[in-house]
Amino acid sequence: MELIVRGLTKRYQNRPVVNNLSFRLYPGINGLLGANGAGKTTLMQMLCGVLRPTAGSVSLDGVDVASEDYRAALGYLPQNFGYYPEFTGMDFLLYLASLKGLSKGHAKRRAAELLEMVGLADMAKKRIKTYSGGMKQRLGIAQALLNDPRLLIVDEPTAGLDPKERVRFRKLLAQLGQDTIVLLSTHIVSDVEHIAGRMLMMSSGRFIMDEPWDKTRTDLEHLFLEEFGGMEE
Amino acid sequence: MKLDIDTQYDRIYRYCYYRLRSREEAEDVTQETFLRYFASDTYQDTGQTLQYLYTIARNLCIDENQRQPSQPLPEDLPSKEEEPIAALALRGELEKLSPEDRELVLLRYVNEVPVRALCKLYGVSRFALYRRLQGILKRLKQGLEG
Amino acid sequence: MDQKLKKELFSAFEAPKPVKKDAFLRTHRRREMGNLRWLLTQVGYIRWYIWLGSVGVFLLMLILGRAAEPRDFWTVTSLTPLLALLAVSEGSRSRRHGMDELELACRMPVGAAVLARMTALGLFDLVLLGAAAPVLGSWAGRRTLEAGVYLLTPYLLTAALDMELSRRFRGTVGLMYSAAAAGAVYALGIWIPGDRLYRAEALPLWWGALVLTLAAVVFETYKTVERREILQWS
Repeated sequence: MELIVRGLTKRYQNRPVVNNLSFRLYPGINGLLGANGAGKTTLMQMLCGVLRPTAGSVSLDGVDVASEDYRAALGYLPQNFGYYPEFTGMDFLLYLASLKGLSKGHAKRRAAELLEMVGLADMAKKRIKTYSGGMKQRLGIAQALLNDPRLLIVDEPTAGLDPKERVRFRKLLAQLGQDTIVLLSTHIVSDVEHIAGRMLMMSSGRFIMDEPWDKTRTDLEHLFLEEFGGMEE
Repeated sequence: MKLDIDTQYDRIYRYCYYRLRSREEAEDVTQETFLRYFASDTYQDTGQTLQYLYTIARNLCIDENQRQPSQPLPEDLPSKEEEPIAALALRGELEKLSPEDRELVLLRYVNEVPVRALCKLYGVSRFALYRRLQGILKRLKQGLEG
Repeated sequence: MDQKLKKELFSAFEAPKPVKKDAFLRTHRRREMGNLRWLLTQVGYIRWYIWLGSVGVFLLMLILGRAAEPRDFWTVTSLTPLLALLAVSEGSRSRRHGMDELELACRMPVGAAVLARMTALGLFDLVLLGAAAPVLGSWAGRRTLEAGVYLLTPYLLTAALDMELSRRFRGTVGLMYSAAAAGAVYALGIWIPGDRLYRAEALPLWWGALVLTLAAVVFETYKTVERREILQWS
């Protein structure tokens, strides 16, 4: 299983935010590091088919990003997401499950399973308004997993979370199957340092690093600071 | 087409296991059944879909069994490691049924296949099917109480 | 068939757990719900008070029509922009509440869901207007068809404007502009003197306006529904 990206570019008013990227991703956790504004979110949006590229192509096992089959295999947790104010956690999951084409029975089962997995089972019937930031993020990852995706794209999931929540999130992600392609973007080194098998670093729309990553290495922060100098939170 | 694929997979698998007695073969046949079903693009209502699925599964099981010199329909139930005493009684009663009746019990009462789909699958009228099911239930209950 | 017997039957026919199921279903899962059922499910997500509000506007039109002075009678048609606002606001909800990105990444085409909701509300509104037209028409001594044109045109005009505005402006701002547009259409209906606006000679102009606004709504609906990427913030 592989995600093939060729010549992916996004220009806003002639300025390239993502600049001619070509790469392949394989199952496992792939970390994407970069400072804010490096183009990470734009890249991820294009990989999810929610933003049309200026040039280039994206395909998962030969299936183009613009097709329904691609989205059927996709799970996405955007950097910021909202919810209809009247929704409880369960409502939210069931609504998105219907948009993912799951039948009602399957949706209910899956939602209950996932709420249990992310530790929100007892908050399921409460309105999302009452959730803490960490809970909301956990709900976000739950919705991304509803359709059992083969490609999971997670954009800055730990921004705004306290260290305890961050560890919890990291553990959740590390649990995910070996046969899922996970792309996790962050500007916090510790998020990916010990769980990613591949590390990409992005700066001004280009990759400055793209190599297999040894989880026991501890020099990622050093590399990161070298490149981005003191932008780490 | 309100089919819950998740549940139907389990049921078709259970049916195939009953006929083939091998987890691996049962899984392969189940998957083959669904692949063929997915490949057909026709719009069907639930009743037709289930009849279609079971027809494919049944035919594939027959093909699979023809490679081995065993009966088209099993003479008994799959064996289990531990069985409570009460269950043994039921097992005995089930094994007294004809192979066709036993399969009918599996499809109707365990797999909850709707009567309409069963009628189509067996090519019998609703009336005949009801009569047969009532007869089977009566025999089972009598056997268990008596 | 009692429960106990059923449970025992279940147990008798039990099979060992399948191991390849998850992997298989993951790769091969197809649409699990029929199209019509899915569309109806989406329609079910329209908030109940939108339906109620629409009926309320309808009743208000009839009440005001009854109570109005003969020369002010047609000002009741100025309430139809409110109907349009209610309908279109349902269509733009996801963007307003930040669910846009999540929805666009889902398998089913979001445009179809939005279209289903707006069509359901649109048809409902059409029924309401269709019921109001003969009643209001007879009170004003005009033909039903004529009354229908007076009711439908500001409705369509507002719908088209609101759809355009909610695509251009994010969040609650879009909603406010849409409400303002509805208000503007309403004000237009009040400001131009009734005897000029609704005199018999003006009817051909009304028909022309109806055709134009209908075309605008079709165009706007198409743009709203076919959108497959997030809108750039303005």
